[in-house]
Amino acid sequence: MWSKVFAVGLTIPKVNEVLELRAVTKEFPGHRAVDDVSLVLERGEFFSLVGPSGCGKTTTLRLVAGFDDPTSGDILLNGVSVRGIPPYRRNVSTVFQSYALFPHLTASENVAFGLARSGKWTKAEIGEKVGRVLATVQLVGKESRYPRELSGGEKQRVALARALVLEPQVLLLDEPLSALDPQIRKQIRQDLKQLQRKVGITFLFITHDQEEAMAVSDRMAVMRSGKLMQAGKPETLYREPNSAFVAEFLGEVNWIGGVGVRPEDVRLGSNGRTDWVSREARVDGLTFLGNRLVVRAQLSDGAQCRVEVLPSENQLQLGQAVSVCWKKRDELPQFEAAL
Amino acid sequence: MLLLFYLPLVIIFGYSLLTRGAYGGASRPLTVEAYGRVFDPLYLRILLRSVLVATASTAICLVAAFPLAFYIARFAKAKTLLINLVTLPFWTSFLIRTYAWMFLLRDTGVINVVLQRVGLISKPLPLLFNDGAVILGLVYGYLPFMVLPIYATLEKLDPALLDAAEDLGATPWIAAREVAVPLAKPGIIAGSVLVFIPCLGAYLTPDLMGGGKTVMLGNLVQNQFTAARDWPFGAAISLVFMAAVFAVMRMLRNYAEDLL
Repeated sequence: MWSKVFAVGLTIPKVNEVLELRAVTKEFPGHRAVDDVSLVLERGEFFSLVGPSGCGKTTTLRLVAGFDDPTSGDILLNGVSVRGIPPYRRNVSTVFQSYALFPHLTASENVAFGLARSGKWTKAEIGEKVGRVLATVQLVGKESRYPRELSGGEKQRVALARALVLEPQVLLLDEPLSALDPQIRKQIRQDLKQLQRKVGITFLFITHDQEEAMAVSDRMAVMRSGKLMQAGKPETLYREPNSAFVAEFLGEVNWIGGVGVRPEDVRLGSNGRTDWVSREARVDGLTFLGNRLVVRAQLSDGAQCRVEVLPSENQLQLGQAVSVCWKKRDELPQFEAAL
Repeated sequence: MLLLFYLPLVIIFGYSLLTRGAYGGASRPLTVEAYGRVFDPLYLRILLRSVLVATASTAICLVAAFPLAFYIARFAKAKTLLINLVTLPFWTSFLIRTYAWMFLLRDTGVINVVLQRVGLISKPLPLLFNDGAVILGLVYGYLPFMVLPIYATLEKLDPALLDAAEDLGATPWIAAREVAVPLAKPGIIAGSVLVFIPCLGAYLTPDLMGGGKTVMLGNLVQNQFTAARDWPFGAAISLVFMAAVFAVMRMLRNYAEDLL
C-alpha cells in the first residue's frame, strides 16, 4: 500500500489521463448503484456526470473520493490504482453538496484544515496559501467569519477554496450549486467555469441539471440506473445522442414517425426541397413565454410536434391548419423510439 | 414549582443556624458556630478527596463514553436498541446492582475465586473496599449519564463533516478529535456535570464499596445526621460544600471551554 502512495506522488510520470474508471461496479444489498462504468478524465478538463437522482452519479463520486470501495473494477489516479487507499491518502478533494464546512472553525481555519493535516507546511506558508486561495474565490475580508455568518454563495466558495488549496489531482463537486438560489446559480456556474480555467485543475462535477452540465462542461457523461449511457462533448451528446433516454434527458424531442427532431429545428410552413421534410398539422396549443411562442401542433397521424417561434411574427389561432418542416440532417440519429 | 426546589434548602439553612440537641434534632439559640467547624482541615481533606474521586470518575466516564457514543451514533445499525441497552441497568435498583458488584469483587467473590482456581493468583486480590472500588462503582453507576448527552450531540452531527475531514487528509482518529469532539462539546459538558455532581455527593457507593474507609462528603453528612447526632453541623457542611461544588463546576466549565 505504501508503495502505491509514494508512487502517486513521486515515480509515475504525469500522464494525460488523470482519472480512469475501469469497469467499476458498486453493489449495495439489493441493488447495483454503479454498473460497469468506464470513464477517462483528461488533465485539466471540466467533466460532468449528469443523470436523474438515483442514477449512481453520487456513488461514483464517493468511489473516486474513497468513501466507498468498488465491488469490482478499478479506479486509477495518474495511472495508479487507488483501490483500498483511504480518502485521507488520496490526492482528490471534494466539494460537498451541503458544503460540510466545519461550523466551529472560521472561513480561513476551514481552508487551512487540510494544509495543517498534511504536515508539509509551516504556519506562515499555510497562512499565505489560505490568503491566496481566499483571494482567488473573492472572499477577502470574510476570513474570520464562521460558516453561520456567511451567505450560501460565500459558503460555497469557502468549500471550493478548502478543496482547491490542496491542489488535488481531481476536484470532485457534488451538486455544489443545488443549495443556491436559482437567481444566482447561473452566475455562479459561470464563475465556477472561469475558476476552473484559471486554476487548471481537473473538475469532476456531479449534477442532475442537464442545462447546468452542458453550460460548464468540456465533456460530460449521462448516467441512468447505474449505467453510463454516453460520454462526450455537450454538443455531441445533444445532437447525436445514442439513445432516446439521452436525447430526452438533454432536451425536448419531437417523436414523429420514429424520427426524433428538436423543437428548435422545426419551422412553421412547408419546404419543398428534397433535403427537407414537411408535414401537415393543426395548431393544438399555444404557450406565450415572452421571448418566444411555443406552438403545439397535432400532425395528421396523431403525433405531437412542438415548435418554437418568435411571438411577433405569427398570428396563430387554435385549430388553424399549418405545416411544419425540418431539415433532414437536423434529425437525431435513429435508435429505438421514445421511452 | 420553584418553592419545591428551594424549600428544602431553606429548611437546611434554618437547621444550620440552630444548636444541636443531645439526641439529634436541633433547637434555639441561633448560632453560626457550626459554620466555624466546617473549615477544619479534617473536613477540607474530605472535600478535596471527594472532588478528586468525583473528577477521576468523571474523566474515566468521559473517556469510556465518547467512543461508545461515537460508535453508536456513526456506525451502529440498531442505534435505538444499543441506547436502550445503555440505560437498561437503570431498571434495577442501584443498591442491588452495587451488591452485585461486591459479590463479584470481594475476597471470596467470583473474580478472586476464579483467578485462584485457575492458579493465576495465590491469595485474593484487594478488589473491594478501596478508592479504586469506589471509582469503579461510580463509573459503572453514572456512565449512562455521560453516554446519553454525548450521543445526543453526535447523533445530530452531519456525517458529511467527518467525510470532509477525511477527504482533507485527516485520519479517522484525527477527524474525530478535530471535528467530532469540538462539536460534541455541549454534550460533553452536560454529561460531565451530570456525572460529576452525583459522584461528588455519592453516599451509597463509598459506603458499600469503600467499606466505610473511603469517606466522602455524602458519608460525612450522613454521619452527622445519624451517629454524630449533630444536625446543625451536617446542615452547615451540606451548604458550604454545595457552594464549593458550584465554584468547582464554574471552574471546570471554564477549563472545558478552553480545552475543547
